Amino acid sequence: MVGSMSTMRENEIRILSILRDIGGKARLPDIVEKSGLQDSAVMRAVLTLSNRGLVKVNEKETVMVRLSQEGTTYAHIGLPEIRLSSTVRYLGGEASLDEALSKARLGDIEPSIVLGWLRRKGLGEILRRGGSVYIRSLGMGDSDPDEVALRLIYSKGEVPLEDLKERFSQSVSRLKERNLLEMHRRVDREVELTPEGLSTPIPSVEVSKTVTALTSEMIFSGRWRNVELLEYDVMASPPPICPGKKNPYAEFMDEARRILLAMGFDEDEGPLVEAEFWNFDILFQAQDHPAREIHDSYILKYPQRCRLENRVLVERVKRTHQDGWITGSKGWGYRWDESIAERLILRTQTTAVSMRHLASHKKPPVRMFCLSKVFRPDVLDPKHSMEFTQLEGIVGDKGISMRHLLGFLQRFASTLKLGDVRFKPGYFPFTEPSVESYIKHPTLGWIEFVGAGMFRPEVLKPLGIDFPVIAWGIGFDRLAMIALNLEDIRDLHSRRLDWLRDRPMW
Amino acid sequence: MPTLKVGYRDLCSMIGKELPLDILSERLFMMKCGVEGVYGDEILLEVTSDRPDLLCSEGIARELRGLLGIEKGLAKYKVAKGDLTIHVDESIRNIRPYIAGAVIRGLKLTDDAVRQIMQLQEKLHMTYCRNRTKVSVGIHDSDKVTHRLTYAAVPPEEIRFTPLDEESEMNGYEILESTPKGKEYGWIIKGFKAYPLLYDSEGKVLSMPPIINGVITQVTPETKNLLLDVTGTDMKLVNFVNNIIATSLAERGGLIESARIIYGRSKVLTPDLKPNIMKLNIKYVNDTLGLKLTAKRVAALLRRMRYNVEVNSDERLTVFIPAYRADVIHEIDLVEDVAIAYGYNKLEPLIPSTFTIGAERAITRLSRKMRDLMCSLGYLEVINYIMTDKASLSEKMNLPPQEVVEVANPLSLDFAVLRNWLIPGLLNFLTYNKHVSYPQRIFECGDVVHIDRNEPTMTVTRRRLGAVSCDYKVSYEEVQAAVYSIFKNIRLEGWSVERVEHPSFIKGRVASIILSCREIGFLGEVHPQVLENFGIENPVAAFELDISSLTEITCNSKESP
Repeated sequence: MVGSMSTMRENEIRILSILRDIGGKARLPDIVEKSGLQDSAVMRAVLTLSNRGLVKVNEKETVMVRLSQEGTTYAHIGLPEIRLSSTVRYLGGEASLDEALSKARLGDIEPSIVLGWLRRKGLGEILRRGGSVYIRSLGMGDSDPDEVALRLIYSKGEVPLEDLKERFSQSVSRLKERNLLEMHRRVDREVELTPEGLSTPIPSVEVSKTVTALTSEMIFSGRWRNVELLEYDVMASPPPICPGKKNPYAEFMDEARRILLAMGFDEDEGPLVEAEFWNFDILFQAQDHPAREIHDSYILKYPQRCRLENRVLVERVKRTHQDGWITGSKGWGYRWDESIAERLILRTQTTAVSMRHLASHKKPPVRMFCLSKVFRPDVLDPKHSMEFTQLEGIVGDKGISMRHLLGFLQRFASTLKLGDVRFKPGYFPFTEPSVESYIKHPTLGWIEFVGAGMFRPEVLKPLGIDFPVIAWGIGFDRLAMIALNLEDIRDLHSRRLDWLRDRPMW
Repeated sequence: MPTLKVGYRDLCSMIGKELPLDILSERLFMMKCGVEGVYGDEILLEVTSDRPDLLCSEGIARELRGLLGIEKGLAKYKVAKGDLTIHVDESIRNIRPYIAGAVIRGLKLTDDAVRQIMQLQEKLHMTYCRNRTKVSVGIHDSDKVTHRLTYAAVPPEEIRFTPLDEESEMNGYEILESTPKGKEYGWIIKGFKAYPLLYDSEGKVLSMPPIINGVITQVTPETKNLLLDVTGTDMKLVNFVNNIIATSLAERGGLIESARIIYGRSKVLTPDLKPNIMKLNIKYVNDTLGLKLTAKRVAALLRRMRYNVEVNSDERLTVFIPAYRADVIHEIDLVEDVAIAYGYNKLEPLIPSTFTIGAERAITRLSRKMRDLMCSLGYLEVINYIMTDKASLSEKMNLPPQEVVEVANPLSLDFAVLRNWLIPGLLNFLTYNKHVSYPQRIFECGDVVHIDRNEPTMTVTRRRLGAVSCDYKVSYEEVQAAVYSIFKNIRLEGWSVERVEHPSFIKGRVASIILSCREIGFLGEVHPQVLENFGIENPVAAFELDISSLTEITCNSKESP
């Protein structure tokens, strides 16, 4: 401490007298409240007083328990082994491993871990029969203590570990082992007067001529000449400031937009609630295509249906599905049903936007991108999300070829500094040839970065487009996770204010 | 995409060449397969869903032999005339009308062979056969039954046989109710008065498609000859599946014998391995791929993809398509195979020379300006999900139930509707951050969806800006100042503020913002009941603006900046 050790400063005097007034002992937050001073000012003053032996600071630690993101998810949807066990019960008490696992929708959790817990908790047993593995349900698992503990902690937000000891000690250690809980130490500080602090005379505030703040009055009157301006501890930390700033994920989206605009692409957007016609039928996805099942797209309870207004287009798409119309294709050879095409869903791919764009931009050249949300049924966990962002781009012109498609993908990746790119044959119902493109990630190795291709004639002809169109769709969230160095997809929609505040700008 | 396991040594022996694992992986990568992992001798592969013929090591080896130049053109399979006859009874017509079959003789059923057949059957069922609804496959010991079969629909109470993996005879109902497969697939036939049944001239049951086989024809280590039954609702698909399985088994050295299928007066022989024929225009190939290949070169590439080709002229080829290729329905599908044989890695990337200037949407531009302003005002940008729970939007906000877009198949009630405003999501955010230091000022710029019966999709997506300020003390004035400053900075004129009542806000401390007789937003202090509902312990002031309306109005009123 530099400065006047011999004299007492205003804040120190104030704290000393507060402590005397309330019986010699107080918790730090109480002093802050009573004094009307900032946290940091109180801390500084208490430290000085303690250095001078006038007060003593007692610290008490409490271990607090709170749910991790994973734990919060399970508090909502239930622990995986309980979900698996109830799925097996729902399937009649016994089911093949594959079926039970897929119906329980466990997402990316390692099945052996779930089975391990299922067995440990006596909820089910594993049987092998004729080369297949079955699960038989044994218990109800309705009042699994681990789940009860999870929900209890969830309802309170944060619970002292001490309070859980009696009823849930085993659950707490199990949940901790599974990384579903986070523990942190809360330190409560209490300030107590020493006998010396109790007896030392409290100087009146005017005792010192030392002044903390230079005021306009002092400058105006010249009084600054008669006072001593307190020397600060210039090395002490200032109070933190939380500036207003943009979300890193949104910043990354802005960056991608800038690149595409610079590459000559127009931005477009379409409805989030979309007709199956625009999301699937016009893309030559047969009406019984697995992607159209309720496991892979969100169908609506309300509203359910829409009107398909462009009758010419509807008729062409119908014929194309049935027998290929004049596209040169054999078609899918089934009876196309307009009432399926009229169903409303949450858009599952931004390719629907490309289709709407092409329907109204029939003259080449066409260059469009769309950076927006799509939805697919999934349980929210570190690797899956029910809504995510796609970056879609199309280029249509006379003389456009597959080599141009590869050229665009390579240019985009190099602009985003994603490193080496390689291409492999892929499959999408609406493009042919189809390409999957991979980028080299420093730790994950080659990872898929974009699905692309040239729209099939069965897609373009009904729209009245007579030039080739190349298209690509990027799972933008994965790219964002790499760029922002995130491992949990939920961090793109982070609800942790302190984390967002602490994160440097992108 | 379907995944499958193949043995490394088995695959190499089927290819007929010992390939180092890294070269094999690279080759697989350049076709419609990819190596997902290697576990000892076992390779885990991913295959694209358009190629059901690649769902076994036999099919993959066939394809690789072509790409490696070991064997080109159509794979040759001899189909001998066999004694298997299947009478299709009239009763099945409206249930599961089509059947195909074959007998495969002289097959050595090694462990690898059995594993691959079982896997092929399972993967076909899951993918191409649409979970057995469209097509299903039974594989039998051919020597356990007579070869005069009947495929008919039989009332469940009259069905009686011991299904695979069961101890005793059961009737049709019992099979659906108490066997695992019955429970899993029973729904496909439950609605019919009679169930499909395949039995021989002595009444021995081979299978009850698409549910389960009989125990009598179970394939065992002693099995010498196999009998295939493929049934379904789509004749084309039934035949493709039969062709895929029969040719895969022939790849392992089996001899195919045909089955005579008798539909009333017409008879068909399956499998029919006659190639399909398609013309291919060389200019189309070159235009699509951006190459200058000669007809001869294209023909050579297609032969590597196991097609037979006749060069008609410099301009045109006639292509003979293998009977197991279900995915070739247009010339363009042949073009892709040309590209695969050429090698995607050999196609040189190009940038088009056409010059275009990209334009962003007006709404993106305005959104960005408003986000910049919000940051200057000290607000932190957050991004919430568009999907949310129903109660947050209305009940918890003190509002009566509202018309919102609601999904029919939510996996969690927390994400079951689309938000129709932003403030509830921002309040949820505050709830989650009660322990973080104050003041807390956050905003979101994102989409909401409203029901609108005038729109073709019955809904309209709107861009909104929402903001909340939460501290020990907050005031209406604080957010009011923010809103006024935003309007000033985006040069919005002619707006006014009107006193309104809104149950989410404190009475007398809430206002609606009006522009051109249209509400474009509102602001106020959040009602303590709402704060209690969200478990927020400090007061909150909030506002929400409709950027879509602002864009429409500002774009119409001042074209020039």
